[in-house]
Amino acid sequence: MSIETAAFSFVEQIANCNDADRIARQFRSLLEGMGYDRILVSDLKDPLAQPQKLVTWPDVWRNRYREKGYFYRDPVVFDTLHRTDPFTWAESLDRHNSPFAERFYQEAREFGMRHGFVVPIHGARRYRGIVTVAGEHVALDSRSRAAIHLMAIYCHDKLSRLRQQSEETGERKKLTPRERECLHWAAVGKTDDEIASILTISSTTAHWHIENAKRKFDVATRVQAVLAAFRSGELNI
Amino acid sequence: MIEVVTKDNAHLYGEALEEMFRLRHEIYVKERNWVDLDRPDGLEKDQFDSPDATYLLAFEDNHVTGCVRLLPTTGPHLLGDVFPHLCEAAPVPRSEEVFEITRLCAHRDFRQPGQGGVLDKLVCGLFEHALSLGLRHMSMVTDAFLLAKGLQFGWKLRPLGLPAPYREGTCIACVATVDRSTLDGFYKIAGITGPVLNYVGIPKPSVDLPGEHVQRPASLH
Repeated sequence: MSIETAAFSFVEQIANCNDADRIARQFRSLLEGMGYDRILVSDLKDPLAQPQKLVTWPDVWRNRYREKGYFYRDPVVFDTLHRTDPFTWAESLDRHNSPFAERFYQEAREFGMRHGFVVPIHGARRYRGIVTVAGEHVALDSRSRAAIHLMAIYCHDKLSRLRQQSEETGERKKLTPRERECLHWAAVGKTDDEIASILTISSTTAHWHIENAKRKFDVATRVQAVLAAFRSGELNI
Repeated sequence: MIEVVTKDNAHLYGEALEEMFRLRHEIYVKERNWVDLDRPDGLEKDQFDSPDATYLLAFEDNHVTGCVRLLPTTGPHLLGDVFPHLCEAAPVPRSEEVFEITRLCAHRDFRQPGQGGVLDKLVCGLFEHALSLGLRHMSMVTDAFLLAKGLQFGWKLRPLGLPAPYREGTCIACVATVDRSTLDGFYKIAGITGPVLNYVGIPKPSVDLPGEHVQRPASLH
């Protein structure tokens, strides 16, 4: 299937789908096919510190980003606020061209995030959101750029909408058995890699399940997710 | 109030239409720098400003503060004649039940919420008119970044193709579904309870739409 066809069918599918997990999974698998294994869909508050709609950023990088307060100096944040058209990290680096920006991108590369593509979301009533996809080996031509742009707009909108609905109804989604299992092993201190070999799944899948659990509990770290799981009775001692 | 202008009552709106073309020049040529539209007379007017066009005009103190243009898709229109290449997911919609929206804009002093909500009211008027004409969809070419804004406001938008670069940015072709529930959502956002349209010198179009008889939610009264 061509990338344009995939984008159109994704947009059509999510119009009738009210399952945030399914939408996130679908978006993730389409992007993985293009070499992007890191995804961020969020409001543009401090997107790595606050609970967001969807994120598969490495935890080490998120913690570093938060501890160092990068949000307030991140050139991508600046560009997302001030530009309406999508851009790549390389384009943003060219524009900013400061020693900080240089160092910042160098660090991101060390965490496996070499190429990034950003879709700024300028919503109603001054709302600002962001969709970023990143990976080590990607091929970005004008067609895939346009396709990601379109999918990002619709994915961001639907995930925001569903999140708002679940906040209004005060409902929290139940963990899936897999998510509970991964969280159980995380609670006893296992890493993604260790959980992966225990459950014979890939490490990114283990990571993904825990990220989903974090999102369902609306928390930012796995420690908080473990605590929330005990508190809600999803995990027992 | 928003007033509807067609070829049948245009004679009552000579000055207002001239003011609208000047406002469009101010916004598209001066603010947005769409240089192709520049004309020495300071009026922004193109080949689609024909007798086929219907305009919705917003007035404040007898001056035009905002406007939008509607064109039947069965005749010449922007998407069909200038941007058909944007439609790759589906053919250019051409039907009596589909009109095209172009040049939806408001004077900069009336753009923000709380400044009369001119854009909110124009959009309500657009859907009121579309519903009374019995339209099912409205097509448009728009800046791609406005898609996110439209979706958030409750427009039901389906893309007709991928976003594509044009001289001043990135644009996309899409169709909006015309239905009562979308209009009710717009009323709620605009904080108004009912019709914003005024028909002067022409009758209000009316089709027997099932949606017309649906009772409004109590919160709107």
